Amino acid sequence: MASFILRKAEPRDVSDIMRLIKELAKFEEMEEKVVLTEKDLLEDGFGDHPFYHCLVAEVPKLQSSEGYTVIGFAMYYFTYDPWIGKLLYLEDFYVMQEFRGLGIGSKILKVLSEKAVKTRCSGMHFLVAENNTKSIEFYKRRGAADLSSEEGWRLFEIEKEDLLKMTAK
Amino acid sequence: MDYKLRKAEPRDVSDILRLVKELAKYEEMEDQVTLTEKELLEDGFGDTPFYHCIIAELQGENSSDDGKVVGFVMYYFTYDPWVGKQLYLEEFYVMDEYRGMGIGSGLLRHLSDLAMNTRCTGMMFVVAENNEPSIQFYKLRGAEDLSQEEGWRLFRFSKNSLVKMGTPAEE
Repeated sequence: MASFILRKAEPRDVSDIMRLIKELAKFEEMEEKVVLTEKDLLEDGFGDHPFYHCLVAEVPKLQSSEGYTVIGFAMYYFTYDPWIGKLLYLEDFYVMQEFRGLGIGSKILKVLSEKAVKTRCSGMHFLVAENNTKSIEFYKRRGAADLSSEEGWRLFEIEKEDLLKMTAK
Repeated sequence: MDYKLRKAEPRDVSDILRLVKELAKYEEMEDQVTLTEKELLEDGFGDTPFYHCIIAELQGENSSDDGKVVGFVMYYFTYDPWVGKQLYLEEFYVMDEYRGMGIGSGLLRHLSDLAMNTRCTGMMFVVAENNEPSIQFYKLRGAEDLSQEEGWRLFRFSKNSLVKMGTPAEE
């Protein structure tokens, strides 16, 4: 029977966080797009002004076949909806394959929900790929609404080179 | 008619709320704005600002219009675990009667400078799929529709759902 703990990430966790980010990107078939480094993660998450927060799931050393103890994580930060105020934004959420079905994901979501309510957030937002039916079901079972479907919102991005073009004018 | 762009100050919260409501009205969702000036003040100008605003203010010779707040952007910083910091454009609005004067472009240029100065790798935002003029405005400047290209859908847990998922309160 697997036992696990959830805790706030610490600077020493950045290499595990990087590893899990890459595993999740691989699952989404976009592994080569990860250009972030451990150094970036360290500065951006554990400096004077953290740009993100992480929760990590850890199992006792003996339980993991490859010796990893950090086997899941959630990356989140706070955003702002001008109609209702603060939101908790769930950016990344991943549990290693061999540790699924043990309630770790549910527990992570529970801790995040409590965090959101405690920090007076009006809700939690996140993106899901439309072909990721398993995740969509996981979230819908817990009451999530698909705002893209219901309200027609589409996510856009202007990349750095186009931002630079605009600064020159 | 001239205008200037500046960082929002605490005294601007009533204009910010006015413009937030005008934009919500344009999106036909005005009744969904429950935020108050008090919350805007605490959340934007306290120890930890949860958002930032740039205001567009008229600078005319016509004294009755001088200093009028006619547009704004609301933004904050987010984090993409693949590439790092991003500037997230939450709200972007110029009053109808003051459009076509370059204020929108000016605001976007100001944000682009800001994104570059703060070492962001990009700018993200959502647009309603039926908002053709805005989609065109952004696409002209190089924006990509990630929902279309990569299939991303925005989901939400409302407060009710969060409370249900959390630990029940002690009796």
